[in-house]
Amino acid sequence: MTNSIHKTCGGHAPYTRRHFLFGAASAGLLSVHADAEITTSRPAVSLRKTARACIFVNLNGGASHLDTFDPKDGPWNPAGVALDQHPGGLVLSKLLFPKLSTLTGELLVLRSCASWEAAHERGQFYMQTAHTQNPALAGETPHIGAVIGHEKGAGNVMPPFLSFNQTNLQGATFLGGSYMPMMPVANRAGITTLTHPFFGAQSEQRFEERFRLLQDLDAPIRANPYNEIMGAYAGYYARAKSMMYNAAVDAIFKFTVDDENRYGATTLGRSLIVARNAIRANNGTVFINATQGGWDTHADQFNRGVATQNYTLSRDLDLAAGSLIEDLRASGDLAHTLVVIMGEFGRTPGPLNSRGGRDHYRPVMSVALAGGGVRGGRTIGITDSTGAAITSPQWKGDRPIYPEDITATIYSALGIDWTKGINDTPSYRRFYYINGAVEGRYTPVEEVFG
Amino acid sequence: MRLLLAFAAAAILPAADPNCPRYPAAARTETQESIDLDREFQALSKGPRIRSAAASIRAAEARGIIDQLLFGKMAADGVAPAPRTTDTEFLRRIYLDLTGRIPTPEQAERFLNSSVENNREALVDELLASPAYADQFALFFNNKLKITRAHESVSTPGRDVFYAFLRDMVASDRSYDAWVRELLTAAGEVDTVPGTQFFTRWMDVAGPIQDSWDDITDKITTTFLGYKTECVSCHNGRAHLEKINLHLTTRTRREFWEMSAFLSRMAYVRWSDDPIGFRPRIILVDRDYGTYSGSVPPTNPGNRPARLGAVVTPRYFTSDAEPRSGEWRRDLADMVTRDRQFAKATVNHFWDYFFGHGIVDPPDAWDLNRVDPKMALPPDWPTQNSYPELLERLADSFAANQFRLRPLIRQIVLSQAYQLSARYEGQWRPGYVKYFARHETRRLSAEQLYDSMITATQTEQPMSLGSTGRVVRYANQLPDPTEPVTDFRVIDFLNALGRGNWLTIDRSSEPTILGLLYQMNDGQNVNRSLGASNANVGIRNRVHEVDAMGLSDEETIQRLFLATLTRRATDAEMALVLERRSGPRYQWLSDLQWALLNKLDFTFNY
Repeated sequence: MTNSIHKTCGGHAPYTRRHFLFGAASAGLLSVHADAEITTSRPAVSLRKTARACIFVNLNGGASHLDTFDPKDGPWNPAGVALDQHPGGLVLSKLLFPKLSTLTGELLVLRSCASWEAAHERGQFYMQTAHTQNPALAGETPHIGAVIGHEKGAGNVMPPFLSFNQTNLQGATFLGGSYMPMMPVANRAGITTLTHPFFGAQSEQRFEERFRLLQDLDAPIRANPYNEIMGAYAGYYARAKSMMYNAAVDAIFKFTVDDENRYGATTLGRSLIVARNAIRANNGTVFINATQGGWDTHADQFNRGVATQNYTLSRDLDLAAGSLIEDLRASGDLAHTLVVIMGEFGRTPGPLNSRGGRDHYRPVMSVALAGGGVRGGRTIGITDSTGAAITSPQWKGDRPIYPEDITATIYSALGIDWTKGINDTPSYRRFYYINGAVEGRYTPVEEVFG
Repeated sequence: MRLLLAFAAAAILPAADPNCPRYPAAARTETQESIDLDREFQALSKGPRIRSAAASIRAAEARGIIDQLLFGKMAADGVAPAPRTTDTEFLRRIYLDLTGRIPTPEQAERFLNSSVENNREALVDELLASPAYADQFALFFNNKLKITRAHESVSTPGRDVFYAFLRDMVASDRSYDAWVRELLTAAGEVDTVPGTQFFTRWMDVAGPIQDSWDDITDKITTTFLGYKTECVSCHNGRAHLEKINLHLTTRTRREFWEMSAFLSRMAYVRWSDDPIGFRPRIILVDRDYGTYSGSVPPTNPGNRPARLGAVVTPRYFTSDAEPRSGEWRRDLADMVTRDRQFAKATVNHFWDYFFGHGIVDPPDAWDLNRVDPKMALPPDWPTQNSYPELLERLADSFAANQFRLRPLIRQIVLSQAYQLSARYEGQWRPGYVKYFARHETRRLSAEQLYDSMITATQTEQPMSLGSTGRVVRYANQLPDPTEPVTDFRVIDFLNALGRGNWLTIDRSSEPTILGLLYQMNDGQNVNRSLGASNANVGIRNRVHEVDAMGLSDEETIQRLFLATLTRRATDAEMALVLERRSGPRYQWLSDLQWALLNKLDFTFNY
């Protein structure tokens, strides 16, 4: 048994995984090589810096690539699926994605992606953090949104990281409270607690006076909190208050019935309306996660008798994401807003399973991108006729595109050096934004950019 | 080359993931932070030091084993203890810990003005006999067992039956080992037999039966024996857990199966002619034949890697004991409750509740190779057990008291160690938390915050529960987080303050912007502090009441402080409040009430 697993430096994910897969002996053989690579100097990175913000649509459950962005002709398709060939190699079902079918000029589909994981929680963790799920390190593995917030700063009135409808979200961990996601529920009335409307016209002034009394009464205990937990809590009052009575903030969370009809009166639809508003307001939010649940379609994919199936999932995604792209384009914000639509893994290829569904599938998945410097109307990657294997990766890496590469692409688009690491962690282990990036094992998919 | 190996691996692996599919739960078993704290404590225990005079005095005065051992070690290691709590500090803390809410001003005055000697002891006994104690500790257990009807296999009647059983066990102070045995051996219809709901709440609904046995076995070892076995339910400890748990690193998946095998004669019989809802009705039965086999249906292999070669008969995880009869679940229940670890883990769970940190910490992640002072440790691993002798003595008295909870709780809260202040004089070091040198300050739970708010403002209102129409007044009486289903405003409050749902969302007391916006601006909360009685609440609230008492402004302010913060205003606070008065009295009183309800020393248990 080698000592490989006891090393404490970063840059571990690929070889730890190999150790895990093959046992100690192989890791021993590989560890010497890995060591040498970790000490090489960082390559010069060139950042695209084409985007100001990122909207990440999380297809929770693992969306089938064959039933979303990489459909194939085959007997497994539902009747009337209407697969259209679009310029640039894009194929989309007009039945399932009527709105996105009119926006293919903005869409770029990466069809040669793969996942490291086939279990939901591990897959979601990987996609949210670009790191493998390691119980010993999870407490120091922040969400991508928190890293982006940390890089871009949190000085503005809106929190840098918004998240909708996600329960198993990795937080900011050691990066600290300012980069924790704010997790509102999107609805038309907005956030009702942004004002203190109990005293008519005098409300705002009355609140100011009360709040001043509260701060002054609490001043001694805030100066000398009983412990760190109390001290951390104290810092949130001012942050909460700074969002109050701010028309710009209030407007972000409110929307009209018209908007709701266009985006769909669904959780995803409403979340993306607020995402659009936050982007347009441009007052601090730089990463928005919007999760659409239900994609874990092991059964009844095309059974309209079931409440959640691919017809409803596709319709909801189509309306919401399509309207989002339309609106961002109309306001001129699409050019600097990177939209990523991604699940945690693909689903089994070819025919449906015995329950009319598809199961988890690691080797192939699709990711759709739009905006933020991405040149749309194209595809990257080709899979075989049943969606079982990548026949041509079609990018410089010449291998499947992994979550690390997607994350590197997002970082590069936002002008963030994806090879960076942070030393100042509680364990003193260096936290690399992407393990293996320094060595060049993972890179942005440069081909997506114009 | 490296990439080729990775691809080769991808081709060999089956579609089901061989890695741990239940990561977030497993990850919390042991984090680096916890091990680092153990390390710091160990260094403090070994380093050169000057005896602490303050601790020596306490040790000399010590009357119980808790104080003797805690202050003795603090004295020897040069760690000064915090001062003793004042009466108001103790009063607030003990009410919150034992009943889940602050005292009313009448209750507070009764204690503070009492000239009875040993009035703290009298108060503890009074609270332990109260119905609120039973509510609070039924919730304590349910926070671990999480029997909620939000889970598809727990019906509303089933949940109610379980809750009633839990509360009854706590209220009657039945021997803990006896009712744990009853729970673990419960059989029959899940809608009517208490305890069976544990086996449906923790079953794997869609998967093969082995996943249910394995999940429930992990839940049993975690809750009743203090150690998670989830990791070794999927793979051997070796080559996986070296950085996480020394003991489990030496254990194998086969050994886990042998423990899980005690459940392998248990079966769920389902039928679905349920006319009310979609939930299947389930009967839990025990066969007198069969054993643990790894054979699963090919169409439903479940969440875990293939159980190759698994045909095992039961062996207890830490003693290799085999069943004495054909009734394996009954034998398991006996072995678990007779296991010394059962007593130690339980005592440690309660210690963690009262002190905010276990003697072994985290209390559900024991590393059995790091808690025995006689067992040698590898050079880079610290002990996990800060007071081994204390743990033994507490386990002894727990057993000597027939595993009853009231004597255990009484022993803990009457110690001087529990009654230390949260204020530390001198330089605090993180490792001191393991000495219990000061009381740990923690935010009130969502239920404690709600219950304290309505008590402070005298705005308790009836809440109807689910389909039973049963009515309660306090959040710690709610049988699960789907309640009170008839009042979304209370649900919103409790959820915004981090109650969680016992299913997919963990309980949290972390500050959030939304939570604070809620606390400050939600209509229901603000109404509680308004100066006029209002229809939402239906009764005169505290501001209205004290305003109408016809006292001076100073006395009125003191009354509000006592009702909300369980203490008098300091001179500086009084001066500040008097200075800020403007407008009619009920108006500035309601501003003061609002401010007090949002203060840090209202929001925290210290």
